[in-house]
Amino acid sequence: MKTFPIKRGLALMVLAIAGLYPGTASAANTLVKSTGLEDETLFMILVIIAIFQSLAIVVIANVIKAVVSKSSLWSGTAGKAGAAVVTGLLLMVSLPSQAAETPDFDALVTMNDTAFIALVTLNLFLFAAFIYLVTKLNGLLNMIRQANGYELPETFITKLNEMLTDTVPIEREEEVEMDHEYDGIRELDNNLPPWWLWGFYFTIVFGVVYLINFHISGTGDLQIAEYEQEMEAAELAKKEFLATQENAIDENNLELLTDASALAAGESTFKLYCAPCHGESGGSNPGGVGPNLTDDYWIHGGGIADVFKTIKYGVPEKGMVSWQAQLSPNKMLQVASYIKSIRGTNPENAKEPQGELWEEAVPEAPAEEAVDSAAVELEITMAEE
Amino acid sequence: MELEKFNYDNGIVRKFLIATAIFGVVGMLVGLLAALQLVFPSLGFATDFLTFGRIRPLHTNAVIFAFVGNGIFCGVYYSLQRLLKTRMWSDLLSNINFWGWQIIIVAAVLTLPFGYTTGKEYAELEWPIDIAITLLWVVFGLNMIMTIINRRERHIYVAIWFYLATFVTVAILHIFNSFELPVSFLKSYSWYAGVQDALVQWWYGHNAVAFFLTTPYLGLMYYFVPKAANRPVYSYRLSIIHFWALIFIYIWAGPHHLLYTALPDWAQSLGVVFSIMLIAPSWGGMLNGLLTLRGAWDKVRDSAVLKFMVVAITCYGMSTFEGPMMSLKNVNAISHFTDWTIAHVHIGGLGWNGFLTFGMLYFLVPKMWGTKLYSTKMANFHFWIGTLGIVFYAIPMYWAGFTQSLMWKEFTQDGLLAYPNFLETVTQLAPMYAMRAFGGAIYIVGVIVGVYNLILTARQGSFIKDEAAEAAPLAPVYTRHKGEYWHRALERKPMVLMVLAIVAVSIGGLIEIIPTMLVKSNIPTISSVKPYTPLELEGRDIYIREGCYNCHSQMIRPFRSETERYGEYSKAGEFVYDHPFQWGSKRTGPDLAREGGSKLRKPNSWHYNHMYDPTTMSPGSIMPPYPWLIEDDLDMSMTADKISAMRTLGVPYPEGFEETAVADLQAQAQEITDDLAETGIETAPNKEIIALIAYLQRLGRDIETTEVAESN
Repeated sequence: MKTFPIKRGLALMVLAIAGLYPGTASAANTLVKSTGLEDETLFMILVIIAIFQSLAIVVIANVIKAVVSKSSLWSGTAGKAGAAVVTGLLLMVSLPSQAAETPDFDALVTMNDTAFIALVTLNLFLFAAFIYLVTKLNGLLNMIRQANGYELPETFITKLNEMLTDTVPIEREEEVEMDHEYDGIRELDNNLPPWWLWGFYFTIVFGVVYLINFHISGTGDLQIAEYEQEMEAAELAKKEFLATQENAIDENNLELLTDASALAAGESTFKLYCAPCHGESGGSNPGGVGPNLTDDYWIHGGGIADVFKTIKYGVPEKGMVSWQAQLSPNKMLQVASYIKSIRGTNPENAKEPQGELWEEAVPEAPAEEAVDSAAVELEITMAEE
Repeated sequence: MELEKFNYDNGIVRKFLIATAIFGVVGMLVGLLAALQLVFPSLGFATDFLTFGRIRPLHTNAVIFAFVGNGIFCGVYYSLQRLLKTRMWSDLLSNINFWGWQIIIVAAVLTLPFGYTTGKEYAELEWPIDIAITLLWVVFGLNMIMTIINRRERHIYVAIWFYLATFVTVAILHIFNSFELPVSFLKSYSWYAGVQDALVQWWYGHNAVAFFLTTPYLGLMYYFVPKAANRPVYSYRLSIIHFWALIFIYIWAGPHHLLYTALPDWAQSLGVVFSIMLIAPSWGGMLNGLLTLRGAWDKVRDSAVLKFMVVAITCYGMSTFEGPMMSLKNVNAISHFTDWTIAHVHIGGLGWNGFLTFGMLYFLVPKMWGTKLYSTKMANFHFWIGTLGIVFYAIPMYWAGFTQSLMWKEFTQDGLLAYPNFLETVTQLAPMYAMRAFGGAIYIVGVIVGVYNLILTARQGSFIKDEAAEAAPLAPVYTRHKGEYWHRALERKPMVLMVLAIVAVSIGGLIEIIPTMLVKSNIPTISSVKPYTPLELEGRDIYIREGCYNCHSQMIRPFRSETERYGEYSKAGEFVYDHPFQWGSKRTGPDLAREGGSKLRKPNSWHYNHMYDPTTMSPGSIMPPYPWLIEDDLDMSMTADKISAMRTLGVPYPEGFEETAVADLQAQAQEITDDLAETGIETAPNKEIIALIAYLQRLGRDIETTEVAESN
C-alpha cells in the first residue's frame, strides 16, 4: 500500500492551504448571518460533527480490523495493507481530538475564518473517509460471502447499477464483440450507458430551456439588466447602512482633525496610497509625479476643504486620481488633515513649488512657527485626552 | 488473396518522438520560468526578450504546437500505418512534414521573444509563419489521405475518424483566424476588429483546444489504450455517437471565453448551452477509454503505460466537466480573468496531454527498439512525481483564483471596494504562485527522469527502422455484411466521412460568426469613438509587441465590482478600430480599458516612472520593468504604411493622411515630452515610451469626450 502516505500528504496539504489564507471571511460570515448562529455555536457544531465522524470511523475501522484478522482470505501483504489503512485512519482521527483538546479554546474560536475553513475541510475529509470505509467493509463482507459459497444477493445497489450502465458482463462479452479487428484491436458493441444518455438528453433540454428563458420568453435577465439590478440593490443597501450612521462627512461640513490618532491614521493611509506620487515625506521630489504638499503653494487650493475635495473628486486632467470610490469620507478627511499637518516641514530634496501662494484665513505665521504651533496644539489635545 | 509484404516506417515516428521529448522539456522549462517570474519578478532580468509578456506566449506555443504537435504526428504516423496495414504514402512528404514543423518551431523561438507577434492568443505567430504552417498542414493531410486511400484495411477505425476531423478542422480554424493584412515582413494587422476579432479568435482559441489538444489525442487514446491493455474497446456505438456529437458541438462553444463581455448576448448564450451539451460527448470518450480497461485493472498496477493513460483519461474527464461548469455565466463571473482558468487548462495540459504523451512514449520506445523498458522503477517515479506535480500545480491555482475573485468583488458596508488597490489582490497570491512553481518544477523533474529512462531503453535495444508486415490487398469489390450497422458504410468511404466532418464542424462557426460580421445591430456604433492618432497606433503596436495582453485585460464587465473599480463597462462600439482586439483573458494586473479615462487617469510622468520601474509607483508590484522603452527610439519608418493598412481594413483615416502621419505623430510626441519636462523628466519625443504613454492615456477616453467637455 505504497500510495497511502501520498494520500495523507494530500490531505495535510489541503489543510495547510486552508490555513494559509485568512481572508475568505465571506463564507463563514454569510453562514453565520444567514442562520443567525453565533460564531461559537457554529464552531462547536462543527467540532461535534467532526468528533462523531471520527468515532464512527474508529468503530468501522475496528470492525474491518476484526474481519481482516479473522478471515483466512487476508494474509501476507493484503493483511498488512489493511492494518496500514486502519493505523493511518486512526492517526487522522487523532487530529480533530487534538484540536478539540487544545487548551487555548477561546483563541481558536476567535480566529473564526481559518478555523471555519479548516473545520469544514476536515469534516468533508472525514466524511469521505467514512464512506470509503463503509464501501470497503461491504466489499470485504461480499468477498467472504462468495468465498463461502453464498450467492451474492441482488441488492438495490446492484440493480441500480445494472439499470444505469446496461453493460454486458466481461464473462459474456463475446456476445457483443464485433466481427472485425484493427491491428489486433477488437471492439465490443455495448449499449450506450443509460445514465450517460439521459445526461446527454438533460443537457440538451437544459440548452433549449436556457435559450427560451433568455431570448424568447425574455424571462431571464440579460447581463445589462442584471447589472442595473445589482447597482440598484447596492445603492439601496448603502443608503440603508448610511442611515444608521452619524452624519457622513463631506466637503461642506468637515472640520480639520488635529488629534494624534487621526493624524497617525491619515499618515498610514498617505504612505500607502499617496506616497508613490507625492513622496514619503509629502514633499515629492524634483521630477516627482505629484506636487509638493509641504510648501505654501497649492494648485487646487490649500484649505482643508480644498484638499479634501481634490482627494475626493481628483483632477483627472492633471492626473490626480479620484479616491471617493476607494477611501471612506473619514479616511479622506484623515489624509487631508495629515497633509495640512505636514505643511512647512521642509523635507529634504523636495519638489519646487507649483501653483499659487496660499494664505490661510488666519494671519500667516512664519513656517517654523507654524510647525511649532501645530505641535503645541497637538500636545494640548493630547493632554486633554 | 495473396499476402503482400511491406514495411512500416518507424524512422519518421522516431524523429517525431525525439522532437516531442525535447520540446516537452524545453516548453515546460519556459513555463517554469514564467511561473517563477510571478514570484520573483527580477527573473525577467530587465531584458526585453525575457519579460513575462514575451515568455508566456513562447511557453503556450511551445507546449501546444511543439510538444503536443510533435506528439500528435508521432502517434498518428505510428498508428495510422498499422491501422491501415500500409506504409505512409510518401516518405518524402513525411520528412517534409517533420523538418518543416521543426523549422516552424525554430521560427517561433526566433520571433516571439523578440516581439514579433500578432497579439492573438495561441495564434501569435506572424503571417509568413502562418502561411508556412498552412502549407505544412496540407503536406500532413495529403500524406494521411493518400495513405488512407492506399490502405489494405477496408474500414477505417475510430482513431482515424478523429485524425481526419483534426486535419480538416485545424485547417479551417487556422486559415480563418489568421486573416491578416501584412504591413511588413514581420508585422501584420488582424483582418477583423474588436468584437468580431474576439469572436473569431476565441472560436479559434477554444477549438485549438478541441481539435489540436483533444480530438487527435482521443484518436491516440483509441489506438494506444486497447493496444497496451490488450482489451477490446468498450463500445463501438458509443464511439460513433460521441465522435459526431463531439465535433459538431465543440465548434459552437467558443463564445464561453467571452461571457459578460461586449459580445452580443445571443452569441454568449449559444456558447453557454453548447458548452453544457458538450459534457456528454466528452465523457463518451472518457468512458470508452476507461471501460476498455474493464478486466485489465490488474495490468494497470504493473504497466507504466496504462498508469499514465488512466490518469490522463481521468484528467480529461475532470477538465471536460469543469469546462462546461466554468461556461455557466454565474460561475464564469467568478472564474474568468483569474488563475482558476490557469488551473483548468493545466489539468488538461499536464494531465490529459502530458500523461497521454508519456504513456504513448513508454509504449513506443520499447516496441520500436525491440526491447523492454529500461527501468520500471524510474517510470513509476515519473508517474508519481508527475501526478503530485499536477496536484501541487492545480490546487494553489484554484485557491488563487477563488481568493483573487472574492477580493475583487468584496465591498465594505458603506459601498466601497474592500480592496481598492488591485495590487493587494495580487500580492495576496504570492504563496500560491510559489507553490504552483514548485508543482510545475517537480512535474518537470519527472519528465526529465522519463526522458532519461527512454534514452537508456533505446540504448539497450536496437532500432527497427522498417518494420516488416504483410497483409492482403483490398478486394476490388466489397459485398456488405447482412444487417451491418449503417455507420459501417461511412467507414468504408473515408472521403465521404471527411466531407461530413467538414459539414459538422462548419455549422456552428458559420451561425455564430456570419451574423456578428454582417448584422449591424450587434455592434452599435458610438459616434465619439475615433481612430487612434499615429502616435497612439505606434504605442498600441508596442503594447502588442510587449505582450501586455498576457496580464492586462481591456474589457470591463458589467459588474458593480468592475465599474466601481475601472469605470463604465465596455461597449461593443468602442473597439471598432482595434485590429487586433486586446481584451485579454487573464488579469494578473488591472484592466486597462479605461486607463486614460477620468477615473483612473494618471499623469504622463506616472506612466514614465512606472514603465521604468513599476515598484516606484506601485510598491510591491510584480510587473517587470521596461527600461528599453525609455532608451529605444521609436521606429517611424512604417507609420505611413500602417495608416494605409488600417484604412484598407476600414479605419476611416482621411485620404492622404499617411503623408502627414509622421508630422502628426511628432507633434503629439512633443506635447507629451513637454509635459514630462515640466515635471523634470528630460526625454526626447522620439522615444518608444512616449508612444506607449500616448496609447495608455487614450484608452477609455472616447466615450467620455462629451462629459469631459462639460465638466471643464
